[in-house]
Amino acid sequence: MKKLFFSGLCMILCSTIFSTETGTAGVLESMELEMERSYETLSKTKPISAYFLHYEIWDERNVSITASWGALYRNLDKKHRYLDVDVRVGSKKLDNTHEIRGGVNYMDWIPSINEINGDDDPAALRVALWAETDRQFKKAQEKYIRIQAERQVKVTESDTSPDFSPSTPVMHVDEAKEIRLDFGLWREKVKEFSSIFKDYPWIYSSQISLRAQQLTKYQVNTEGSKIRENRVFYRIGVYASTMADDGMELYLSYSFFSFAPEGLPSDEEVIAQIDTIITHLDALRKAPIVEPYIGPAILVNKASGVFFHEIFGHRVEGHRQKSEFEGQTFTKKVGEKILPDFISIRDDPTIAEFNGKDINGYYKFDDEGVPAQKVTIVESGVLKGFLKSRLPIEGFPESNGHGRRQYGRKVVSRQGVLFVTSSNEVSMNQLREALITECKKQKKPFGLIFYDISGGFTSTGRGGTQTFKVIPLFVKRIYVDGRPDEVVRGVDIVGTPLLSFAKISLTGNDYEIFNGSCGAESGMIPVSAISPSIFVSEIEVEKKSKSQDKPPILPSPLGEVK
Amino acid sequence: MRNRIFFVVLFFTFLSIGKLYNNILFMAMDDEIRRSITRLQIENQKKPYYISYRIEEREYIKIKASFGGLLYSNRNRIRDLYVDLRIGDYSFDNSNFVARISHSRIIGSDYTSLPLDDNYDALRNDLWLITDGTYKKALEELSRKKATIQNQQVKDQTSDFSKVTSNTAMEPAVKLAIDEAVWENTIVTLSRIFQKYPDIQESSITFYSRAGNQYFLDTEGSKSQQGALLTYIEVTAKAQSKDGNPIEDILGFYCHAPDELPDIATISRKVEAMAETLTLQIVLEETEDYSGPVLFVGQAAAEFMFQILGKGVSDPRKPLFENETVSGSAGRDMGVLANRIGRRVISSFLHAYDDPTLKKWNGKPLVGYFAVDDQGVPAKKAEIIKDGKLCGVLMSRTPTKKIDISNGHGRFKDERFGSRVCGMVGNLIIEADETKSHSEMKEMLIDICRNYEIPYGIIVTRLEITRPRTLRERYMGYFTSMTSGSEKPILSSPVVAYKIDVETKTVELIRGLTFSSVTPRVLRDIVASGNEDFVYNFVFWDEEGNAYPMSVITPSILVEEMDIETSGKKARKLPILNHPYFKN
Repeated sequence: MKKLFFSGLCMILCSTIFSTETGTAGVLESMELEMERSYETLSKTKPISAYFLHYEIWDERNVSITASWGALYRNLDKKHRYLDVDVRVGSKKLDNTHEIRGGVNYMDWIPSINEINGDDDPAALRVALWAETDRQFKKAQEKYIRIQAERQVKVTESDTSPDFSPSTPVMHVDEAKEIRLDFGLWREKVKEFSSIFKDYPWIYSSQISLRAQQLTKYQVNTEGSKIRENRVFYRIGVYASTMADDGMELYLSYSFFSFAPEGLPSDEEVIAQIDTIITHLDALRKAPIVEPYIGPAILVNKASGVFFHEIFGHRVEGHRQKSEFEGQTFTKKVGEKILPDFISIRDDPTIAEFNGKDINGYYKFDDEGVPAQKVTIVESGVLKGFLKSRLPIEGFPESNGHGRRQYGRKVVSRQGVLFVTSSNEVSMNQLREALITECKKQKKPFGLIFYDISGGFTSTGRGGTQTFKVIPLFVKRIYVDGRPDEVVRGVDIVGTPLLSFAKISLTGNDYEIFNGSCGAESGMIPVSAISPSIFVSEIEVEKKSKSQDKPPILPSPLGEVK
Repeated sequence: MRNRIFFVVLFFTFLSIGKLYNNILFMAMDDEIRRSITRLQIENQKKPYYISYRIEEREYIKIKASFGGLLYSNRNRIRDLYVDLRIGDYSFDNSNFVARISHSRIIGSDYTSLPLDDNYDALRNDLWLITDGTYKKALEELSRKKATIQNQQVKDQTSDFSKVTSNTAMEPAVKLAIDEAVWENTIVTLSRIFQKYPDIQESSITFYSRAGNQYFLDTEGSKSQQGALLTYIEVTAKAQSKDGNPIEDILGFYCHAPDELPDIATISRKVEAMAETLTLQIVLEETEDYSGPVLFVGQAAAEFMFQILGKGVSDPRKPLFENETVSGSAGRDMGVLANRIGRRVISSFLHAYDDPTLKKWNGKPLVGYFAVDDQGVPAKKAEIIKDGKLCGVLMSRTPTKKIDISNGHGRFKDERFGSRVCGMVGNLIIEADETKSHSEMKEMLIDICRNYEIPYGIIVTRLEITRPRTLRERYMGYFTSMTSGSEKPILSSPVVAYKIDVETKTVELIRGLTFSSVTPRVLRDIVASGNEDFVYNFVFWDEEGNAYPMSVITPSILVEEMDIETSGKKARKLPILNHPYFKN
C-alpha cells in the first residue's frame, strides 16, 4: 500500500519536471518511441515473442588528472555514451535468462559494449536502439530455444521459482547535474601534492589523482518505467609504494570521496594524509614479517567493512542462491542464526551520507529500474533475506532494488551500502583490553590489529572451496607484556566464512565508512560498507606470497642529484 | 597598440623555437643511461652491453559520428618510454626469445608511461625504475634462453644483434593544430550521407589526427628526434544481402597533415559511391565458384601486394619460444618469403623496393614515411625484388642467417608475451618493365578467359582490410583458448568485384567471393601490369592491435589463374523491424 502511494507521488512530481527539461527528455522520448515501435512487432513475433524490453543509456563524462613527483602524467576529459538493451522472450515463468546447466556459460559474462551517439540527435539514437534491439532479440530467441531443449533432458532444478518478478512502473527524472570544478587550479594542486614524495627516495612509485565523473542513466521499459538519474562525484586518491629489502612489495593508498566539490578535503587534510602514508610505509618497510598465526585480532572499522563486504556480502547476493554452480553457503539458512546475536546487517543504498561523509554506494534506482530499498539481511544474528534483483528465488519473489551492473554487462544482484550494526559496543580502548585478555587466556604473546585492508578474494562457486583471503595493508602486533605496539608485514587473512563469523565476540562503537569499487560478473560498480571495529577471538593469517624481485640496484636518482 | 602585437608575435616565435628540440628529455635519458651502462650490475652477474631509450609522445584527437549523431570527440596526450636492454654480446644475448616472465607490480619492465611535463626529476625516477626492472628481466631471459637452447637442442648460431654506425638525426617537433569544433561538424555532416541509403544498417565515420614525436638515445652514441603527423578519415558501412549474408566495407583517406585530405565534396562523393555499391550488392546472388584469371585494380592491387609480398618480406626472423604456450600468433603471417633470397618469387618483369624516407609520391603524401626507425637506425631504401628475384628483406637490427645488417625498417611490435622490434613495410613500391593500359589489361583478361573457355573474367577493385580483433573477440579468444588461432588465409576476400563477359564485354557487379588456397606462389602467376601507379595509404593493424601507417605504390596486376569460391559467410536473419528512419 505504502509502495503504491510512493510511485503515485513520483509520477505527479515528474510530470512537472518533464515539461521544463525538454533537451534531455528528448533522450527518454527517443528511447520510448523506439521501444514502443519495437515492442509492437516483437511481442507478436511467432513462435517466440518478446514479453519485456528494457533500454538503459549511460551518459558519462570522466575527468582524470594524475601526477607524480610534481609532474603531470594524465590529463583526460572524455565523454562517452553507452547503450544496454535487455530483451526477454517467453514468459516470466520461463525466459531466455534462465540458467543453462550444461557448464558455466562464460560467454554470458563477456562484456558487450555498445557505444552510441553522445549528442541527442533522435535519428541517430533511434538507429542505434533499433540495431541493438534486433541483435538482442535474436540472441534471446536462440538462447530460449536451447533452454527449452535442455529442460526436456535434464532433471528439475532444486529452485523452481520463475525467471522474472513483477515490478511497479516508476517515473522519475533527476535535475541535470554537471561537474563543476576548477580543473586548472586542481591540476596545479595535484602536481604540488605529488611533489611531496620527492623528499623520500625510498618510495619507488607514488601518485596523486583527481577523478570527477558525471553519470546520467536513462532507463525505460515496456512496463512503463521512465527514469533519469544523475550522479556526480569527485575523488582524490593518494598512493605510494616501496619494496622491503627482501623484495616484498608494499603499498598504501587513501581516497577522499565527495558528491560536491565543497566536500573535497582542504590542502592541509590531503597533506596530512600523505604524511601518514609516508610514515606508515616507512614503518612497514622496516617491519618484521609475521609468521603464520592463529589467534585473537581486531579489525578496525574500515578494514572490518571490507571484510564483511568480501566474506559476507557476496554470499547473500540473491542469484547465488539459485544458481546450480554456486556454493550456496546461506541458501537454506533463512531464519537460522548465522552470526553472533548482537550483530545485524542491512544493505541500504538509499542513504547518501554517513557521519558527514558521502556514500559512494548510494543510488536511487537499480539497473532494472527498481527503486533502491533498505534490506534487512541479518537481524540479531538471524538470516532474514537476500539482496535481490528481479530474479525470483524460492521464498523471495520480489526485487529489492539491488539488480546492478556496469554498462555492457548483464544485471545480477549486488551490494550497495552494506551496513553492519552491533548491540554489543564498547570503546576502542575496551576493545583493545578485550584483545589482550583473550591473548592471555589463549596463552598468546601478542594479538593483531588490522588497520587497513586493500580488498580480497572470495570463491562462492560450488566447484571451489568456500574459502576467502583478504589482503591487509597495515597491521600492528599488540603485546600482552606492555611492549609498545609494533608494525608488522607480510600476512594475508584466510579462512572459511561461517567459522570466522562465529568468532566475532565484541565490537567497537566507532562506525566508519569505506567507499570503494567492487568487481564481479556484472562489472565494476560503486559500493560502500559501514562497520564498527570488530574483535575476533580467532583469526588465521598466512604468509603472503612474495615476488622474487630485489629492490632497485642503483640508488634513486632523486637521492643522487641532491 | 601596434607595438604590443609586434611584441606578442616576437615572443611567440621565440617560444616555438625553444620548443623545437626537447633538451630535458634528452638530458634525463642521457644521465640515466650513462649511470646504468656503467653501474647497473648484480653481483656475479653480467652488466648490460647495450641500452636504448625510445620516447614516443603523441597528441591526438579522435572524433566519431554515426547517422548524423556525434559518438564522441576526445583529445588526449600520452608519452611512453620503451627500453631495449641487452645482456651478453652481439652474437648471443637475451633477445629473440619469448617466455612468460613475471615481474613486480612496483618495478615494471620494457615500457612505462612518462610524465607529460618536462620534469627532470620525474623522468629520472621513471627511467631508473624501468631500467632496473628490464635489467632483472633480461638476466632471467638470458638464463632461461640458455636452458631452452640446451633442452630443444637448437643448432642455429645466427647472432642476436647487428652492429650499426652511430648517428644523430634531429628533426623539429611537430604539433597538433586542429579546430575540433570544425571537424566535429564536418564528420557529423558526412555521417548524415547514410540517411540517403535505407539498406545500410550500420555506418560510422571516424576522424583521427595526431602529432607524434619520437626521441631516441642509446649507449652506442645514436641520438635522434623525429616528428610525424598522421591524419585520416575512416568510413565503415554494414548491410545484409537479401539472403542474410553480411556485407561491409571500410573506406579510408590517410595523409600527414589535415590539409592534405581530399576536399569534403570529394570525400562525400566517394562515401556515396561506397554506399551505392553496397546497396547494389544487397540484391545480388552470391557468385558461383570460379577458376580463372583475375584483374586487381587500385586498392585491390595494393592490398594484394602488401598482404602477400609486403608481409612475406617482413619480420624475417622468428624468435625462439620457451615452449608452445608462448608461441601464440607471434607474426606467423609474416616472413614467409624471407628465406628465398636469390630465388624467383614473382614474375620477372616486376621489381620492388621499400623506401620509408619518401614523404610524397607525385605530390601525394605517403604515410609510411619515417626518417629513423624504432631502433634509432636511419631508414634506408631496401631493394626487395630485382627481375622477379628476391634480393633483400625488411631488416631491423635482428640478423637473419643470411643478412646481418639493418636497413632501418625496425618497428616496435607488442605481443602477448613480450615485445620485439621487427622489420616491416614503410613505403612499398612495385615497378614493372612492361606495362599495359587499362583497356589492354581487360583485353588480356578476356583473351585468357577465351583460351580457358570460361564465359567471364573477374575484376577486383577492393579487398577487405585486416582489422584487429574487437575486445569481445579477444575475450572469447581467452575462453576458447587457442582454437581461435586457426590460420587466416594469406589473402583477404574481395569487397568490390565485377565480372566481365567475354562475348559482350559488359561489366557487372558481383558479390560474396573469397579466394581459396592462395599461396605466395600466386606472385609468379602475375602475367601483366598496368601503366598507372596507384598510391595506397593505410594503417595496418596486426592481430595484437599494433597499428602501423604504411603506403603501397603499385600498378594494377593481372593474375593468370586463381580459385574463387562463394564466401561462405554465416548468414544472419534480416532485421525484424524496418530501420526507424526509413520506416514507412
